[in-house]
Amino acid sequence: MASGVDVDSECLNVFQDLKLKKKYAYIVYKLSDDMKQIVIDQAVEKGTYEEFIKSLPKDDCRWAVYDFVYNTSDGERHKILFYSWSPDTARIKSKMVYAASKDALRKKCDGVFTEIQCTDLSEVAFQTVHDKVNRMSA
Amino acid sequence: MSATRTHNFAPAPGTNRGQYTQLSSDPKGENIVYTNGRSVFVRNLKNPEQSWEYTGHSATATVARFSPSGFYVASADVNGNVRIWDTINDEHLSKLEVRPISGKINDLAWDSESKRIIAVGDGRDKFGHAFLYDSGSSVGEIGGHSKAINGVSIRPVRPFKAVTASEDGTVNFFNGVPFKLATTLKDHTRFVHAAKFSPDGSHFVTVGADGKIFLYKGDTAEKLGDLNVDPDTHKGSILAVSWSPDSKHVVTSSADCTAKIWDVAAGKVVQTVTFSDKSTFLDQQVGNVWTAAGYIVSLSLSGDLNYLEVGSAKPTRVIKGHQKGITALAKVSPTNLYTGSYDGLVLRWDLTSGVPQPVQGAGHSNQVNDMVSVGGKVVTAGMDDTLRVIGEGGFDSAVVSTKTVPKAISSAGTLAVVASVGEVTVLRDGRKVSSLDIPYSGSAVGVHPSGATVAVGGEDGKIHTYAVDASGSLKEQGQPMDANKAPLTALAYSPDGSLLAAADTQRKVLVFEAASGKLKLDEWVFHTARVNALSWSPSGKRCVSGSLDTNVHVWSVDEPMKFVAIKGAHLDAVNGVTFLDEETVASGGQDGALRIWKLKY
Repeated sequence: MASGVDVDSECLNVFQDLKLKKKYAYIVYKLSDDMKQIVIDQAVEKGTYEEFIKSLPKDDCRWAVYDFVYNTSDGERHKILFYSWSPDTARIKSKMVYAASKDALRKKCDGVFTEIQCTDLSEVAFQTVHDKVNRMSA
Repeated sequence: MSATRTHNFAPAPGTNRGQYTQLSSDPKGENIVYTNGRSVFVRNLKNPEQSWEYTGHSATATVARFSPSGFYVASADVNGNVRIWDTINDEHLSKLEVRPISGKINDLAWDSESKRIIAVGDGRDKFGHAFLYDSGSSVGEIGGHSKAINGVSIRPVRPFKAVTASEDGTVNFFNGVPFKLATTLKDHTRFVHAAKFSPDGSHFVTVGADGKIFLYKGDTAEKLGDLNVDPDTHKGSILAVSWSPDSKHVVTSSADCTAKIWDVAAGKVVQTVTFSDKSTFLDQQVGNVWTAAGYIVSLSLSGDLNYLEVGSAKPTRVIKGHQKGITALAKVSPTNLYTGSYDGLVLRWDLTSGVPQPVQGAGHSNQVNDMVSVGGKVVTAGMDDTLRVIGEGGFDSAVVSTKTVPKAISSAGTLAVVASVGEVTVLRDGRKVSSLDIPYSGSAVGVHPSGATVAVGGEDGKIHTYAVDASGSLKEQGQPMDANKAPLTALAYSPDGSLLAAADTQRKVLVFEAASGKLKLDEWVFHTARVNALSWSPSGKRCVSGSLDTNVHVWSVDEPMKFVAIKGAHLDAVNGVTFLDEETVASGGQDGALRIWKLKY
């Protein structure tokens, strides 16, 4: 908790629901407006990857957990991914606080397959992420 | 959502002044093989618009030769790497990669069994090496020279012999296999450029900078004489020699701007082909090949491939092309293109035949920065601070000078606008009507299809818009658009004028609403390096971009996240792209090639 930011307990409950009960497709987290606490921006029960990408703001940072589903020759695979979204156009202060506070949230989320750091759409695109997940699980 | 390459128009061979260039052919003699930059090109002689390339070298390639079996090609580069790759699969799988000598490789030779290779060149510790094509293990010693070796040839019949031509003025004769030095021939007095065995193995010839053509017996290296004593002799350095398939004739190419075909038994010239009355260095002949199918091709320093025939004092066919990277591209009609290159050459392409013609008249003296079609004519902007107009007959004599280097040019109707470092120039019908000093460095420009608005992108990362009045004067309007955070490289208005696409050096293509200047699309960020060129499709629903990352991307306005990626479209960089019609894209790149792609959505 390098930045002294606290994590709202609801954040973890929602994550557990996503991980164990498969209740959500994805969860987007953000810093509260006073930058003191990490809170849930939205937790979506059913949504496509395109909708997930659209839910990331163009000029502000976010964290997200996505239950990534893809097909291999052996059948369907689920991987829980942790995203750090930090677009070039975000304010520098925002990028700093989000980067410094990431661990507070990330450490609490157990069972994440990998982290995806993304600064623009080419890095969050389904194909890019799919390639990375495939490479890591191979 | 895919793209297939329908045409690959190869560049001309790369040449160096005063140096020979290696040409060769496939075993059937229907294709010519040469190098340009890092690429190896294999090009059909009957239909030169058909070609394919190999791009495995990481340094400038110098020579490529087919194995006599036709299944493999050995190619080499300036770093001393030899790569042997198969010709059957499109991937050209690598069979062997070796570095026989630690410097530039000048020539390669296969033996007639397609098993052994001799590579020669300018290494630090040795100048040549003989090895097996599959394992790379040594099959003899190629030594006895004190300077770089220029050429090598292996006797195609047993017992195997080899000859090497060196810059120390000697020719070494080797017994094989394993290759071992037998004799040193000291007949030449200056650099020896090439040594070649006849296809039947009975003779070999050597040519050199002293203008001599010596003929030797193939099995004993006994000297039979100098061919170049016929009264009709070469007057300069001879850079290349090739045998006819029947072993009766040789063709020689010389720096005196001629090529000659000799009857070897009679020692007489049977045909002289003169390329230039005045000795212009661009017509020096620097390479040749006589293929098994009977084609005789001599290469000019300018990169022209000249087809020769006995009985014709002029080349029967001349194939021209870019030797350097294509830096600008302009579409006149769906079948008609102009391309300009780094060395200032401008070519006109008829895409139905695929053979380019150079634009006549005084052109640019160095790099063509940009070009655009304006009402039937083409206006080009050169690094030599001039704008030139190409009409029906070639370059107009009238030249518009700009105060600073013109970087980009765009047109609508008869209006053409040029952005240069510190100035925007307006041309109507090819004549300058006004100019405006700008406080930033202009690097991209787009003219609205109505001709009433001009967008100029600067190296400050901003897009400034100007209104054009009836007299052609510019007046800045509104606030600059500053969503691109890096220097602009290309701007393009969609055909209906509603959208403005802007590309920058930090790999982004952004789309603005032209009327309001509002950012509309920021999803086109999948390039990984500077974006060099943009073009809209006729419908305005798609946009194509070419980038330094070697890729061409075709974007969609309706589905911004879905795009067609043509990966590795051009080695090193894509410098120009344009839509020919809704489903066809042309691209020009740093490798000097022009390619046509068919898209499927």
